[in-house]
Amino acid sequence: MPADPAGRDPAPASVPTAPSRPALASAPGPAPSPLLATRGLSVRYGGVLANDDVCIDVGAGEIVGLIGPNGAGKTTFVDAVTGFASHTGTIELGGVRLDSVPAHRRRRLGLARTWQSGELFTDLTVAENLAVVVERAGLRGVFDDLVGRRRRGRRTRADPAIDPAIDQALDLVGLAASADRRPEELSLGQQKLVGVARALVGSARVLLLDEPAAGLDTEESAEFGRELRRIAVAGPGVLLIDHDMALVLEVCDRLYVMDFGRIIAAGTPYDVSRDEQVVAAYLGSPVTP
Amino acid sequence: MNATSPTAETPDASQAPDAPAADRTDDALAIRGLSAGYRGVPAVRDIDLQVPAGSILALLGPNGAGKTTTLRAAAGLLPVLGGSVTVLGTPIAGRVEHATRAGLCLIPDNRGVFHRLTVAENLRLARSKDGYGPALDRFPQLRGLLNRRCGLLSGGEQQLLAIARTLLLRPRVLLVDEMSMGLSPVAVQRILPELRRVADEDGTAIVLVEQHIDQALSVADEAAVMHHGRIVLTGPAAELRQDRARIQRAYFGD
Amino acid sequence: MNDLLQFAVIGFSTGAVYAVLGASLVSLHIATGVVNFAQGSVALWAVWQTAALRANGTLVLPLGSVALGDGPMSAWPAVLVGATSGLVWSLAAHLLVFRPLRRAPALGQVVASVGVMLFIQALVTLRFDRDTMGVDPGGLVPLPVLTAQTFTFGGATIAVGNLLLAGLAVAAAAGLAAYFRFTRTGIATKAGAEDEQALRLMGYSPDRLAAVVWGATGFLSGLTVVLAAPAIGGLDPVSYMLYVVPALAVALVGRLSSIGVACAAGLVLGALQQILLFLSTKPWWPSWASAGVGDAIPFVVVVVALFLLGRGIPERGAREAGALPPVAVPQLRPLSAAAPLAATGIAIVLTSGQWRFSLVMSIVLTLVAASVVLLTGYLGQISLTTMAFAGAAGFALSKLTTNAHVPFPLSILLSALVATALGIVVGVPALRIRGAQLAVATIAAALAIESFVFNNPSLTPYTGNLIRDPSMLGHSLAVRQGTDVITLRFSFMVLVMVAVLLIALARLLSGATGRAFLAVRSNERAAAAAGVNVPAVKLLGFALASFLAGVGGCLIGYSRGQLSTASFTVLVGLTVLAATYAGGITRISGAVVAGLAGPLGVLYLFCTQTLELGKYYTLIVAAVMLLRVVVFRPDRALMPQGAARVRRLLAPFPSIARRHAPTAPAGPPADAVHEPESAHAG
Repeated sequence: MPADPAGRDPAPASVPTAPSRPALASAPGPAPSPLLATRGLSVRYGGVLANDDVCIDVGAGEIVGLIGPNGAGKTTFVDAVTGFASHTGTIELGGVRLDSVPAHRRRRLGLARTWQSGELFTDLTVAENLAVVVERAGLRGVFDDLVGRRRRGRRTRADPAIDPAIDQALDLVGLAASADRRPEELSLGQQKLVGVARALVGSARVLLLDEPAAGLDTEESAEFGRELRRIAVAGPGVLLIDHDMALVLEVCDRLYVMDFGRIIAAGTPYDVSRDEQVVAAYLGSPVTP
Repeated sequence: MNATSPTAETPDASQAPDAPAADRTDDALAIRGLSAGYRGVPAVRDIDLQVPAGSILALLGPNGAGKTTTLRAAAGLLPVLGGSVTVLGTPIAGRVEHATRAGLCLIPDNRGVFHRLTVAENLRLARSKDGYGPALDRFPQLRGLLNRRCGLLSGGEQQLLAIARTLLLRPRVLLVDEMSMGLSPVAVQRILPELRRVADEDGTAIVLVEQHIDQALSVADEAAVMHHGRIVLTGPAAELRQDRARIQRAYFGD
Repeated sequence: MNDLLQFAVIGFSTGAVYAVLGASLVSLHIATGVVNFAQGSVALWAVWQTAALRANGTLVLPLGSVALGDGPMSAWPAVLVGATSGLVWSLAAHLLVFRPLRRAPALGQVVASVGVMLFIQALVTLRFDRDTMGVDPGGLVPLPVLTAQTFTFGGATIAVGNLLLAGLAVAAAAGLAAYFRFTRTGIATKAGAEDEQALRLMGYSPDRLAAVVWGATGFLSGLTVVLAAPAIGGLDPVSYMLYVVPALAVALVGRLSSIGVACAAGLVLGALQQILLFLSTKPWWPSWASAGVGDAIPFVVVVVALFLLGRGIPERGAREAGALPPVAVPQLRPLSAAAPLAATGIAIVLTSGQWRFSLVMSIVLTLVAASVVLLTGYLGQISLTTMAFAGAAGFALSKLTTNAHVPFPLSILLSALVATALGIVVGVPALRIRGAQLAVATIAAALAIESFVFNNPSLTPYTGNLIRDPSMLGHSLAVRQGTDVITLRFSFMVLVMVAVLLIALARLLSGATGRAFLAVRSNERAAAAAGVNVPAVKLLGFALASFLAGVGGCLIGYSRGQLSTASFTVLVGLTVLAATYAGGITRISGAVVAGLAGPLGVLYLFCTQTLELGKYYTLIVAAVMLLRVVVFRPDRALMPQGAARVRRLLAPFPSIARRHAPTAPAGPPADAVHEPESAHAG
């Protein structure tokens, strides 16, 4: 796993490009006013154009896939959208411009993400990881902690059942039984799911999932796909980045293909998977489960 | 553990894990009955692999099968919990120094290049009598990049640098972990033949851990498939390339 | 103009020390990622060693001593032996402390280097005494080595020695920089700091490479300070230890990566301090700023460096290395709070005099240490300013009670709020930096507050800052009454106040605030992505911590009847941090341990009075902390791992398990196979 953003995103100039790139297919009918819309989004890391004029729409209840080889700039895109990488271009969530909004406010406005490496709070239990999203720390939080009545039982470490939303989110990813465990006690795949639950909780409107199924085996991955469907049915839009093509082709309504920081193809999974160029150059492992 | 008995799938009985072969003297790398893992818990068990000089072994398997663990144990980065690793007859008792002195080099999956150093500085680190000229002769593409900071190189260039730097050390055994990670298939297609050339011309024994099965098999002599910490299938690369169904079965462990 | 030039050159003596110490700090950071607070202490030992040798040829060792020759040693051999003692200390610190901690989190490394800093300083005080050296340490001075020649240039008298010192500093920095730039081992050292494993795979030994830099920087620091000491002035057992603060400031100007910039900044800082000293004698100079200006500059430099140079100082490695000490979240049960409270109350009643006083001091120190637990243990912000916050509140208390006659409980509240405001001001840099750099910024702030406020005669008259005794509803709560050095009333007032605050703190830490703190501590990016306003939470932490420390400072003030600045020095602050870390920096019980063991606490009294080990006190605290950091590392949990592994092995996905209940796959634990990734991080 590369540690350095500059290492993660290769310089486009010096790597041979594919012989002829497929023309940018016009994406088939995203909702007329998408929930999340980026226009002309570009990110530059020390002279390297990691994202170049990226336009992506995610509608409500829609699962949109973003695929491409490692280092194509997919994670950079998520970083930019969620406020962790400075960028040019515009980002709108439900018609509200987010370009200059700090990361934590974007989350409160409903833009939630997961991380490739999990990035759970290791000192907190699974339920507490979610509680951090629901609670608001600050002077008000201090007041509540000091004098507030503790709703629904004691608000202690073992039992932070502050909000039923936490239980609901954990239920959705099938981890309700692990609420009081520490993340380190869970398998890597389960840790990823805690990350998904943490993104879900607290009125998320668009989820950006960065390789949520990377630690899962084939069966688990398929199960995760079904869970993702259930989540999307409930309303939020989902942008899914994953290398598991079986999962992506199965659950996504639409796909974007990114390479060298640019969107090189877009369309339905059927169209994209039939695009020989895309398949040969970018999806390319011969053994695809 | 539901892995099938390896012998059933293994065409070459002399390489079967359960029947360790008599020492083949020309094996540059010999791994016998190796168990290794983290904090005393084995993640791989009973690994048997022999790689003769000048030969390439493709080590395949799904994510988490234990390929990286095997390589790290062979390079002395992990304590050996059982079995042995020898490089040209020298045992590597879980010590990196032993491995490097015996002529083993590992290119880790993060490539091990130093991002804050320039390309030239990276190459200088290889203690080579002839300087780094030979590396530039082999990979002329690096010539123009000598003063660039490595962190600004593309993934393909970084991998090229990692290989060039390692070859300056004239390894007798070369282990390459996930070489294609983060590389475009085109870049992989250009680097793999170089490794073939290194094996053929310098007589280096090479172990290649790869996700791109077809490309790996195209340059390898032998292949081994791991699943759940064990070797479940071995055979000549050309043969396995023709019979992908077997690999596929081995990948899913049934 | 001539005067300015003359004073600037005079400043080169201290400037050379800053420059070489700063260049050494940068070199060590390049080589190992460590920010070494002990750099000044190493040089301090070298100065004393040289002085002892030149007095009567005694080579002082940590245990015992050796007479090298019959009489005083001649100048240059003594200088060389002294500088070599710096090399030896530096190597010892590497081998015994920093090498074992190379994958420890920043907190462990900072605390360890503070421990080494205190340890060597305490050892200097202990070992360079009359018994060991055979001469009175008070009469010892650093004898001159360099030429005393001067020449006149443009009307200014220039000392050749000072120019030589500046030249030495430049040469030392150039040598270090050339080593990293042009030699293969130097390049390999840089590489090792980035990816130790990759370097080992190429056949290098990162430990040996680091040892070269530790040795060289120890030697150069010792040499420079030994040569500069005669020009700087006398010999005391503390001063050069704290020279590390300006040196850290110039290292930050060099962004912890440029040796040349750090060296230049050091020389400029030294010159600037002398020029300001000169200007402060002018009639137009404001009298309130006539003292402590020189010591306040490093903080200004740090702030400017951090803000003008932006956030670009890279922590070593992008990811958090190692694990932080595990957290024990306070479980508030009536009994568990009441029992120690009652026991303390009984102890107060049963004791008297000195013992009761030390017990009350322990209670107050517990509160101060609890603020360290909150800020450093829970929020992960390494602040060395705690005692300065306490002192600032005490200072405000003195002004409020004597000048404004603010009555008792309100006086504490207002004074603590002053500390809170100060805490927020100091916390602002924390929004941009973390880890060891924050420790640098806060120690500079502490030193600035100490010099500019506590030791400033125009703010703190020589008669001291008196504090009026507290009283409430007509009842005196004064600490003294007649011959009673500490009254029951005062003791219980302290106990009640501290108990209330600790219970409040426990509620905070076990509630949403504590969770947000821990989220920020474990992963700031992820916390922001979870909707936590990270800057606001950090400032909240600084505010709460400085409030608690402020109340502690007020109680200390009331217990003395005046503000004694000796209670709030940087050294005391570091000792409190050390004691808290040794006691357990992530739990309130650790604060209690720190309170008992801290300066003037119960264990302190036991140590000094009963065991008569008073002079060993700092040494013992530093040694215990070092043992705690290096040997009994809190980030290495002993027990839970095995249990966690078993559960992990038996815990396939619930959703999968439901469908495949009989044949649940029990493969190797997922994290074991993926460990290589996390292993790279170190």
